[in-house]
Amino acid sequence: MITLKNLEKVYQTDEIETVALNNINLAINKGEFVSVMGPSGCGKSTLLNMMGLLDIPTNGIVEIDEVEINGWKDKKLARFRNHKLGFIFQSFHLINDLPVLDNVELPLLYRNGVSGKERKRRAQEALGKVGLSARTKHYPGQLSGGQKQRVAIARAIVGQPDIILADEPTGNLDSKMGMEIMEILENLNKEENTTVIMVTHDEKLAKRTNRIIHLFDGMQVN
Amino acid sequence: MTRYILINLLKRKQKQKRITLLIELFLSFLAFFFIFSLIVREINNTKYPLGFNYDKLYSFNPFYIGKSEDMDANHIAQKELISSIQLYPGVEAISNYNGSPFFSKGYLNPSQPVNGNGISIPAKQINLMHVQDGFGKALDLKFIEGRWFTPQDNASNIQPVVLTQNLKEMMFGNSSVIGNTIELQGEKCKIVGVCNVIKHKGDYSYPEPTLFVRIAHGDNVQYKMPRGGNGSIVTSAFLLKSQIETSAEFESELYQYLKTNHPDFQVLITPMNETRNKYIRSTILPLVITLLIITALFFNVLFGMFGVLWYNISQRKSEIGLRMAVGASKTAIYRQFITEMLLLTTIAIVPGIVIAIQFPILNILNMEPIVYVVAIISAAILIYSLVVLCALMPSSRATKIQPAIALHEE
Repeated sequence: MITLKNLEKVYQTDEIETVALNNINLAINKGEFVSVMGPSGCGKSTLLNMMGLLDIPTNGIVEIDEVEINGWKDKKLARFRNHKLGFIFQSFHLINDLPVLDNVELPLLYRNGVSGKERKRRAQEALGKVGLSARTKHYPGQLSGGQKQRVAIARAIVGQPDIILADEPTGNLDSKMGMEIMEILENLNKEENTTVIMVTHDEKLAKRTNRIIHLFDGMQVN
Repeated sequence: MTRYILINLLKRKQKQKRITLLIELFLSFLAFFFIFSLIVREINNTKYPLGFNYDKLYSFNPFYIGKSEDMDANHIAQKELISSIQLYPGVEAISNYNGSPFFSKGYLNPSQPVNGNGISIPAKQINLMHVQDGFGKALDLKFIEGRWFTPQDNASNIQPVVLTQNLKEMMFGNSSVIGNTIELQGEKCKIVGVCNVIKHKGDYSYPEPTLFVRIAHGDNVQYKMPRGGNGSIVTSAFLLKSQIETSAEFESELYQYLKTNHPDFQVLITPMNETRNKYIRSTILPLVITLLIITALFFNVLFGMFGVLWYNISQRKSEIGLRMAVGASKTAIYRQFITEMLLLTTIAIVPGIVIAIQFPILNILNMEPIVYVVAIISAAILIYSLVVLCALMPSSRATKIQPAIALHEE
């Protein structure tokens, strides 16, 4: 489903050059639940950003569904992200000014042919799946960390993407909340055959996934 | 999408920031509307012709400086002076007139509304001029119907009046009015003519509906010339038309002639084109100052708004990153910010337009309704353009960064 070939990412400033990813070759199959582990600064999030088409690799190829993504224009990339990918971030990235329901419907806003009514219906449904049907009118500031992350998951799944990219989704949560989030992700993977790629520091959580990818200094070590 | 953005604008928290911006936009709109009204009024007025030719005209102000206190003797001396000027070579016409001066902002209105044909025109809307028979010739007025005053009007026992075309249309519409009567300050007056409109206050003035009332000739005429040298003001002026265009030579010869033949009078002769030049200078200067103010205001609003929008959009970089991550293209982000600003501007200027509309309804600045319409449209276009201009750059910069980086900007 996702194939990375000789992937390299170098951040260049006036004075220094930082190699964030070096010669990454990776294939992730449809329906897999993969975790990415490694010490801080080893390039886990950069790798996720490359797979999520949120950043451009310096060298190498990114293929999703056997289609090479490199060189795609912004509009095509945006449409692809909208239909295929769902993101979950450690810091939730909810828009604090907007109520929960509006946050969740966000991906559908950029999808052609989905009416306002339909957006609301699907956002309600997604919130139902994460157990937050009663919180649609709340603002993120009125929710606990675990609830915020569940809103973020609802937002990630509302567009029914094939792939979910989760960047330390439990990093800001206590272990109980972390487990709850993990269970939601596992259910998505099992019940809806969604491919999940999760960056984590938590070995216990990583062990529950199908495969662990280890990174060190921007390189794959296993 | 526009509906979504509008709803989200209203739903969003941090209303304080938006209210500040709304107030700034609202006040800017009103300021631009007011300034544009003044500018458009001046420009709009230039579309009307002046209605008279000033090339051969002089304003002529005599002051009595003689010693005699005998009113009758003064009276005779005054009439002799005017008769003498009428016969002076090169003088085509001379007329006493009592009204607001030419090329000046002064005004003279009737003390009561003017009534006729069942219509009452408020006094402040009418320019009143008491004039002699030579006035029409001096101004070379053109007649739509009827005629100017003649000595035969002395025989009439009802006061003859001439209306400008715009006053006639206000009172009588398109029908013929010769022989009809109007009521001026309780007195019945007969309309003998309708002439072209004039802008005697100057090129940038509005052609006021004017009512000419005849000053009778003959023994009863009182010129009421002021005494010179005691600070008195001219209450009664004359208009003098020469056969050739105004010249310093004609002026100095006339001065010399009057000094020799009428030593009891001191006269002030001013070519009308000189008065007009002074008027234009005094009108253009405030217009230039107004343009400087509007330019300063424009840049003030531009920089103020640019700063506010730059800050607002920079604050939302993380949101931009998120929106791009979930599928928004750069164009969609761009469009969202511009639409948001346009909607905010609309919310701000709608009350401004409601206030602006009151100006023509209540006739606050005494201008033509079209002036306000043009001013409202111009002010709205300027505000919208400013807003788009100010929102373009920060939103363009915000969409240039990669979503992965934008997501890390809190």
